[in-house]
Amino acid sequence: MTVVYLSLTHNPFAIVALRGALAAAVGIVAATAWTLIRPHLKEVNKLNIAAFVDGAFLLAAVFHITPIRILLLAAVIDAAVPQAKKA
Amino acid sequence: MNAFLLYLLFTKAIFTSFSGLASLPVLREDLVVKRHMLTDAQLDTAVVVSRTTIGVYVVSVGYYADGITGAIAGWLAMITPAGLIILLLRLFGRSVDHPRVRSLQQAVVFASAGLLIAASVPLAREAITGMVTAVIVIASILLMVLRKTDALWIVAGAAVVNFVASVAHIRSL
Repeated sequence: MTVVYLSLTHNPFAIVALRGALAAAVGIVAATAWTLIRPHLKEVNKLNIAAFVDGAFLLAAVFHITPIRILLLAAVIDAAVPQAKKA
Repeated sequence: MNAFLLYLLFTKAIFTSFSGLASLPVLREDLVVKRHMLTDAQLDTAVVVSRTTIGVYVVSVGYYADGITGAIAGWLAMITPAGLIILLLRLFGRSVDHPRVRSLQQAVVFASAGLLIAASVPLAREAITGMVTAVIVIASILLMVLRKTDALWIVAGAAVVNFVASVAHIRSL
């Protein structure tokens, strides 16, 4: 299918449609963040969820820290303050 | 690029995530930012391919990075956790439901969500080329979050909407 998509990039009509699809993919990526969080909403304090989500976003988008380091940091912080996550 | 290195990069991304697209920020960091093997547009296209077919996006990303060899590396990385899970469950099966382990897993999932939002920013810069594509991004988010619409329909609908909007725009000139 990737090969088919690549071949479509030479067709001007397909390019226009593909641009719409690419925009939708951005929305899907952003919305996937919500689908990751949603199952845990009842179990975990929402402030703690916001702290991890916003903290990771800021570290990546503003301070350009690598994802692996951010994920490790999240794990370390959670291990340090496990009791704070109770709902 | 060395196919084995590509396989290791994919495996790293998959092992540091707990579901599908959550591995995208790690892959973007390695393949787009550090090694310049892909552009944000190609990564975004790989997401489109995976959302409109039964394929998994790492295979598509692998194809963009290194052709058929890259796609095979992506596929191998995709099935590696499935093979290792048997061993891991045997070793740590009893620990999976332990509150501390579960809490740690949740923390990483929440951080993954933040990283996904951060990764979507540069993708949006590439994909948003005007008012219509901006509306498509917002509508896609709302449809997935509020209506739980299947991604396939969102991508297909967005393609049709952008095509119709472009035709209408050309006719109005």
